[in-house]
Amino acid sequence: MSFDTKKLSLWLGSVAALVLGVAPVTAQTLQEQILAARDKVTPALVNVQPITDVYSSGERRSATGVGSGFIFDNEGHVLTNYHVAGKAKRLIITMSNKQRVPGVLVGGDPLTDIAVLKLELPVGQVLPTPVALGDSDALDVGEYVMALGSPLALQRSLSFGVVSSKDRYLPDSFKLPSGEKTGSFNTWIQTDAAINPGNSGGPLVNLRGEVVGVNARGAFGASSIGFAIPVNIVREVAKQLIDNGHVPRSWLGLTFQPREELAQYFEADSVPGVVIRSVEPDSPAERVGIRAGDMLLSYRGERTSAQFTEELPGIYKRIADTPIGSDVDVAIARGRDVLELRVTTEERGQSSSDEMEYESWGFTARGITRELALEFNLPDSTGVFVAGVKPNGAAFRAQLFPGDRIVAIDEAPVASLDQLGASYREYDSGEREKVLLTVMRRHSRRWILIEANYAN
Amino acid sequence: MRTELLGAFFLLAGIAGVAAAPAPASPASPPAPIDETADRLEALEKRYKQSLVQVRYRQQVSRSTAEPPAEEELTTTGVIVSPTGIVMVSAMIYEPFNQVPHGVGIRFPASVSRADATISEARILLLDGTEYPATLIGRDPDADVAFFRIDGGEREFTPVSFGAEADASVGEQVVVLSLLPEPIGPAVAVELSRVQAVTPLPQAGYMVSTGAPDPVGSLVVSLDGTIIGFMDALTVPVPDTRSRNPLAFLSVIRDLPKGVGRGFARPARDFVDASARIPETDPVRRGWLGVEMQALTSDLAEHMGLSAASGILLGYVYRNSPAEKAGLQVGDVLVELGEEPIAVSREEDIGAFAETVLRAGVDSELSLGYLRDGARQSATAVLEPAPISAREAETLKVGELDLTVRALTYDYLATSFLDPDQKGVVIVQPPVAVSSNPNRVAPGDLLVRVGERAVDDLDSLRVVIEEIRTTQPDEVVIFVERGRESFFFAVKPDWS
Repeated sequence: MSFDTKKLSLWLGSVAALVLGVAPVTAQTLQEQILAARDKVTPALVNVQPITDVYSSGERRSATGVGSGFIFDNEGHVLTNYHVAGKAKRLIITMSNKQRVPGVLVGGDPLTDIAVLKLELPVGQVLPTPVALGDSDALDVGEYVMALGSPLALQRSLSFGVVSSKDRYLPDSFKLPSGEKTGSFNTWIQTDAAINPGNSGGPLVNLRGEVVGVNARGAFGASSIGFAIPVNIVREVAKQLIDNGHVPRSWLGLTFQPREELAQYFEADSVPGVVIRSVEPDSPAERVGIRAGDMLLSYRGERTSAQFTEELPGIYKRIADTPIGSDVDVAIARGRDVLELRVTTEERGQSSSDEMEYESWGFTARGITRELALEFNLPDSTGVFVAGVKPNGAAFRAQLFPGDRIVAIDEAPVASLDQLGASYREYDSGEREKVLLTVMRRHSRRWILIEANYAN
Repeated sequence: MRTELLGAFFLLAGIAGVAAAPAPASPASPPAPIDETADRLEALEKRYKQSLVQVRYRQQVSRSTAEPPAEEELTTTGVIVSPTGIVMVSAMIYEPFNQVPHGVGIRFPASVSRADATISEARILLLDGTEYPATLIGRDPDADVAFFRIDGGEREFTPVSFGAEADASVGEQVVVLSLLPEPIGPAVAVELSRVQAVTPLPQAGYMVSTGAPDPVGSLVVSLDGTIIGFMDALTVPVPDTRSRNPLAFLSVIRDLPKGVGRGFARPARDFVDASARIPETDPVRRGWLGVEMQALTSDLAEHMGLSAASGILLGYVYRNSPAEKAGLQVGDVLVELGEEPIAVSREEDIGAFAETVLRAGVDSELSLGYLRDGARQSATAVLEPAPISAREAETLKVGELDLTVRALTYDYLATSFLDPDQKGVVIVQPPVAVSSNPNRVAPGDLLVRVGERAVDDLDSLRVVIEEIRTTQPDEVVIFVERGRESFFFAVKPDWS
């Protein structure tokens, strides 16, 4: 995406000209409102420069990027995107007065793309006034908003536009650059206020100077289409991150699709519900006999209905927000029958996994979560995934491939990334120079003998 | 002989191989003076122009993944293998994506080839000027050839015959008999050449230099007229086997100059009794054990503390396969076949073992010695015909739903971790216009239900489609599974 300041200023200019020409009284007010809102938010703006580990071609490297954020409470907590700082080892934070201060990561949530940081201000330094969080449900399509942040590292930039849509649904297969799924639990605020790389994590602000969203992404190949996470979701997630370091969520093993054109097929014209498209094996829902093709009519006594896709996040969120381990009553339509079932929610678990480098073996690997196993159609989540293989390294020469699933090391089962890490350290400090990895390559087993690449 | 040849990998052989070549194994006489050679070549031309034919057919061809396929008329060279008019061609006709204009054929993995292999309006031109309609009757996937039948009434044709013993060494003088294309031809081109290399298993065969513009389908014969090989394809080095990007292969096609000057001929022994093996209804099936294999290198054997220094590690045993019935399991190490140790210590040696199994044929008993947990065991596997693979599976096109599917196959089941009793059909080409489709239905998804009706296989789908044709609904809801996920989508059929 190219950053076009000229276009932006022209556009802003034409808005101003239009408003000034047609309705000078309102324009005056609007200008004042913009400036007042700006002044409320600007002191709390920060620029976030994360130092992260990135893994590519079987090696770990340090990388940095740039994003935006804002102080939102009196403890010095900063909101930003998970994709900006959720995996940061170190953070360099620049305040709006250009002062640099250290900060730490409090927690991150890939599923909503939110991370919370905490500033570590030097003794005696006064925290700027935090922003006020508004009410994203009260937003109107067409309402003026502005985006603040550091697009392309151009700090303290402001762009202006309107709310283009407030319930945009981006499919739950949508992924962050790190490969993690996001967006299952929220719809998005779409705006034409320019949002460019680096705006991520910055606030979307209404004319009263309240934050209504966290800017998260633009659209490639388009302009004037940006998306922000509604602040009402952000507020909840931030509280969980501060309290728990993560967001606990319930899980039933159900995925849904809207009735749309399927209504006739499901004879659902008179029975509003949401179509269950998939039931995960060995999930709470499967254990009570729920099947793909059933329709969920109610959850904990409340109707669940989705005719269109943008109604799905609300249903997913309602399930996720149920306390873990709750016994929940659900009503299911199967053909003409209605079944009343009780199902016990389980913890959803991590969707993503860490990656680790095994330097003298020349590859990196990731843990296999339940969700990854589902995505890659693996029979179970045992073992670890080979994520990258260093060209001409030891594993490369032994013909280990990315995507191979390591299930044993010298014939002892490998269940997790930590376990492989422990074995690696043992080998790395020991005498043996060869290690036998048993891997699954799709359905087939392979034996890979790696001759470790010790420099000395 | 075979083991010596294994080492003569074609990339390395070349000129050095020519210099070091032993005397030809079979020729009856020493190399002939040039005049005599000319006479021989003329005789060969007369003999084989009765059997070489040009096959013309129409087919959907995708020149690239970016463009929709278009129907084109294609040609290939074939040889008559029975007096009743059976014509053998390279099975590359099933993969028109692998062909470039003017017939330089290059083999690619099936996964790269996306073309619709429906062949229509086939005609066969004999070099005496006669032309007949023809029907594609089947394929022998193991020998990698396909067969047409000439619809030529009572006429008796002149077939060629392939001998099991015919062989050629590196450097040996051979004759390439190819067809010249229009507008000059079709006419037989006779070319004196030499075997550049004898390639090792599993792609055993001969590299022969040739100036033929389209060597696929040509015959390679010795100076005395014995057929040594049938040119199957031009093979080119595959850029990087680690590359997952099919476009990497495409760039090779595009960049390749016409006529690389070298053809690859499969040995005549692969086509012995070609006409007898012609599939009447099904393709010919050779012996199948049902395992996936890895070479036991000496390093691996030593590290694993095994008593054998070579052998085959079993990485997968197909469900209900002869290997499974014989009690073999993943992790077993095959070390003996019959009384002989299995001398496989490099991946490239596996082809020889696989070839032995293929040739053993259906119903033959293989007695296998293997190691399990270090202990020596034995088993007897009774070979069965190989099941149909995804690549050869029957497909069904449902025009009204803009949908093409294929039958479930054992290899799809294995790679998808599905049980052998799984029902359904595999989507080859999904409909373009669908709705209510959160995951975008994709090739490889498993179709298990149409409307209210379960789809067990192609036949049950045919029944369902017949019903739909009578009721002509505005909309058809299809349920598919993808791994452990599933979803519905709706198609608006085109009843016009």
